[in-house]
Amino acid sequence: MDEFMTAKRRIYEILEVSKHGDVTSKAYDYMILFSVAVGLVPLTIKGDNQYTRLIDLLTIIIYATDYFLRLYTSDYKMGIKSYKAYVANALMPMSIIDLISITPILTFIFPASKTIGLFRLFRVVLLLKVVRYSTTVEIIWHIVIKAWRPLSAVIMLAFVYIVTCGLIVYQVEPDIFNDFMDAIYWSGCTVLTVGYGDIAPKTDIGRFLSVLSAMMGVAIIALPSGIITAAYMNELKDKHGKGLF
Amino acid sequence: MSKIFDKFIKKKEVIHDGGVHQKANPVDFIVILGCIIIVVGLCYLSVMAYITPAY
Repeated sequence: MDEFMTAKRRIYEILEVSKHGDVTSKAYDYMILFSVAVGLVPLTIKGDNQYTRLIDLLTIIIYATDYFLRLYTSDYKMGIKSYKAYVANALMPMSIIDLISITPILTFIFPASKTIGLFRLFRVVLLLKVVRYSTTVEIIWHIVIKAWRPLSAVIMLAFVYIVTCGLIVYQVEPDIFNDFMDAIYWSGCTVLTVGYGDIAPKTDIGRFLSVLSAMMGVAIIALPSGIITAAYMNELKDKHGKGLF
Repeated sequence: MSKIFDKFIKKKEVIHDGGVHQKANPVDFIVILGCIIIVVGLCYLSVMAYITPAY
């Protein structure tokens, strides 16, 4: 029994992000990161071949094993010996991401269904698995949660401006925009200073609005950048002060 | 092979013959060996996936 519990404890240590000097845990982390990168290979190839199918199958088996082992060691992770540990661990955001990453297994169980084939696109979620291993991404994620109120205010401001601008330009340029969604698309591209140029206003008012929107866009983009940068610097100072970074 | 693993991987202490000895955990053997096989296999598969025509 003692041997069994030691093995379970060791599995938990290996699954968690590696601590100093734990070579096995580090090897496991790199293996998972590598399999995430290779798991995206089938999405970079147009069509399928037997090797992309094999990559799909093998990587799903790896992620499924990782997921079930993480669930199996929930009691160590949550620090309580109860079924609640397993439920709580299964409901954590990273566990949900892990679960979504193994949903493409449905394409193997029901190969005939084309709709199920869309599950393959869920593989993009794999990139979120990297978050677990990156301290920087973790810091940025905490910052976004902390600075959510000012960030949401800026997003709302941008959204209101885009809709207002779209409404105005749709009325002053009826020949250019086929429908309101065209106007919203143009307004979004202009405010975000993308400038595809596939739709462009012809009248003086429309062009003036373009210039105004581009200027507003620069200000709107600068606001969240400033908020995130300031919060990031504060977070780094805190961590530095605590000797964590 | 066992000596190479013993040198690098985390060891647990076992009491044997009245003394405390360092012994590599069997879980570590399985994980490291598995990692090596998986990485080599995935490398091979991704290269073959790129050079084989898709249908």
